[in-house]
Amino acid sequence: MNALDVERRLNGEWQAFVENADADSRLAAAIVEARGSRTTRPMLWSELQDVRLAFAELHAALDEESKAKVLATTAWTVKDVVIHLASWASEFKRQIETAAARQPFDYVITFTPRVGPTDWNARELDRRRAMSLDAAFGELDAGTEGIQELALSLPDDVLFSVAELPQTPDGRPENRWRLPLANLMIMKCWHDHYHLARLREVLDLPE
Amino acid sequence: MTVPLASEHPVLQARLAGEVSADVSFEQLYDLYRQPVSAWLSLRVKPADADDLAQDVWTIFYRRWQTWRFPAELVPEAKPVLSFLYRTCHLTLAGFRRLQDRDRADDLGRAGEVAAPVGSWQRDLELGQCLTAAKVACSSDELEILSGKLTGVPARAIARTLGVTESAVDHGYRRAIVKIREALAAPGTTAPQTSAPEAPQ
Repeated sequence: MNALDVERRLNGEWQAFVENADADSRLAAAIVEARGSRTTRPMLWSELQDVRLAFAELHAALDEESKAKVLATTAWTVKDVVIHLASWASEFKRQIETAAARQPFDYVITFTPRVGPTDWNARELDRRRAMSLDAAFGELDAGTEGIQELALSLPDDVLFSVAELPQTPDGRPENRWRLPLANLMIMKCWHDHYHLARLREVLDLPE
Repeated sequence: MTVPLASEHPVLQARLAGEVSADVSFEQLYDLYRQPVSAWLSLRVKPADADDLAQDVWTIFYRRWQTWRFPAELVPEAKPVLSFLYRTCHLTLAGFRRLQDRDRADDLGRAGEVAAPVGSWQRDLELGQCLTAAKVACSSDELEILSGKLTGVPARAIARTLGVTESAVDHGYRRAIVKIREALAAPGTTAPQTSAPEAPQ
């Protein structure tokens, strides 16, 4: 058999294999009904790895200093956004570790609905003004990798149980966010994707 | 040469035009790709795990589909959904294996048992001669390249998923064909591959 024969046969065998694959015809309806609420450890690891790889691609694309100085929002440059994401990666990791250790939070982050935690964001960005772009990407990846590790290692009753977090809509400690740590991990990925989409847009990078 | 799947393009166009809801188009895309996704997974893990991972992959896609970003122009050949599913299968499988490695290490630490070989519990598949030879002779990444290319995943998407160049994907595909050919010519002489491929960057 020559190489072309092998390719032809392989193609036919693969087609038959796919046609015979046993896929649950009701799964899509079940996912829609549950509004995609399923969360497992491989899912969390996969979602976090996806953003890590996306940030690695973004980092590689910022090969000229001038690109990091492009305005990505009305107020922030590309570098500012990366620093913002790095500050949240560290904060999310700290929150998950603190909640997992059943330790109380001695601070709040006022997260005004539809506006966000503007004061906290500005303060954390200011603290990192002197940081290089490489260092910001380093903090971002280290924080995300740490969360990925926690997604695999935390006990079920910690990862999937509701925890009380520092975020609050009105600055009042009694109104702190209460949600499972696994959901906080998903939220981190959603936040990363939200900013990644804008960064790709301004830098003209593929999705 | 690829499996002639129906095109995702009309579903994307209808969704972009607002002619169909996110949920309905999700179910249409599920019908289109549920078998390739199950085939990719069942080639690598045992049936129960493949079913669980398929749920994970489709749930990740469902969430992402709610806020899917469409490009300015939809290109019929681009297959962004197929590419997304291929990448998500790859990443979810990697997460699953990390978890298994941790559990196995914990079990060893507790009981001092010998871990089962990675391939020992894989699905007893009804594979043809070439696919069987591929499973035996090809590395993990070469199998990923083969299954992606045979399903019609764009080479660019395979390259991004595996973190290699498009030419490395091409090279890996050709190398896999050579290995299958050699395995068929001399059955029983090729040792199973477990390590990463020698893909050039």
